[in-house]
Amino acid sequence: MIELKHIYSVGRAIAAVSLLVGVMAQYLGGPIGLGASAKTISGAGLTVGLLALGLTPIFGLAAEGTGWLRSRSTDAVGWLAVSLAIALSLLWWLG
Amino acid sequence: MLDPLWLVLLGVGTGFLGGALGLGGGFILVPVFHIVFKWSLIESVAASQFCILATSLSSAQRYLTGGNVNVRLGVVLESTTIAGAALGATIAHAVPELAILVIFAAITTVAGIRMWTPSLVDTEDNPAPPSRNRLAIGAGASGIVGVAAGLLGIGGGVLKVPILHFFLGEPMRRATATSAYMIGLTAAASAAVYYGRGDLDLTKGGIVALGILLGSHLGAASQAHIPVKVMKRVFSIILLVLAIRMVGKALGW
Repeated sequence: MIELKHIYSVGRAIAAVSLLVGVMAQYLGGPIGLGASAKTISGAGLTVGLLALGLTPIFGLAAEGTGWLRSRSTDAVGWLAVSLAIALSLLWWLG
Repeated sequence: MLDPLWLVLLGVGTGFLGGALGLGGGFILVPVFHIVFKWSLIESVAASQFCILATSLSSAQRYLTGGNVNVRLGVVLESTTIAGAALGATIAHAVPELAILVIFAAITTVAGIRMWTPSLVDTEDNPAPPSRNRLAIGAGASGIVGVAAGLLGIGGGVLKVPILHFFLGEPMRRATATSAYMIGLTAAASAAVYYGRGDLDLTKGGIVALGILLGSHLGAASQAHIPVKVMKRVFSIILLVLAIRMVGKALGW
């Protein structure tokens, strides 16, 4: 069964790999001959890393709130969690 | 090439202490970014929020595995903390830099002194849930903590843990774990505002965050080998030195 801790583990792994790719492309892209694509790869890696860090807690909140993780019907606190997840997602989307 | 190397090392060191002690690390990052690396205060606060996301992801995952997080209480308190954090980040440009430096130094000093005081011992594993009145007041206080966190670039754990433990009656280890879970959500709210406004330098923040992800893993693994008391003392000294430097900066020394 998927638990909240698994969502956090996956989010952390995606963030670590993306940030590593982004930073490596930024500083080593030129020397290893990536040329103009280095900037694109770097930007993509860093952005995905940021989004993985920011969206993982939000996704966890939504998953916990809807009862998806525990296969149970949601309650008042669950709906509050879902509302917070939607509010945070909008904050990122509008930002 | 020197700057990125130092940023990675800063991330590893902060992540190590954060991972070992369950802290966000904003108290170290903001002054170091601002005073050592000479970034603007807003840029330092924005980068710190990004980095706190990395620390909290690691520590929350560990605490969730340990089963000590009170997710329901965390969600209720975050309803106001998230709003406060977004508000704090939004008004950051309007608040005088001097005020931010002084408030930051004051809270850093409190956090540093708290590290010297002995840890509280839990007396009850399953306390009764807090009354509605206490919950409402706790949520209000959490909202104020959120404003401070969003404004200062900290996770706010140093203020959240006392609310959870002293006011809402959570056992200390569960209060710490729940606070670590909450910090990620608080930082997500303010990081979104700073990112959207263009205050966040993704490259600089990304380098430190990468170091933090590595350092927090090492810090968590080292818990069994290095006495927590020693690490707390080291962290405390660092905080007090940084608090003095922030006061110096505010006074123009």
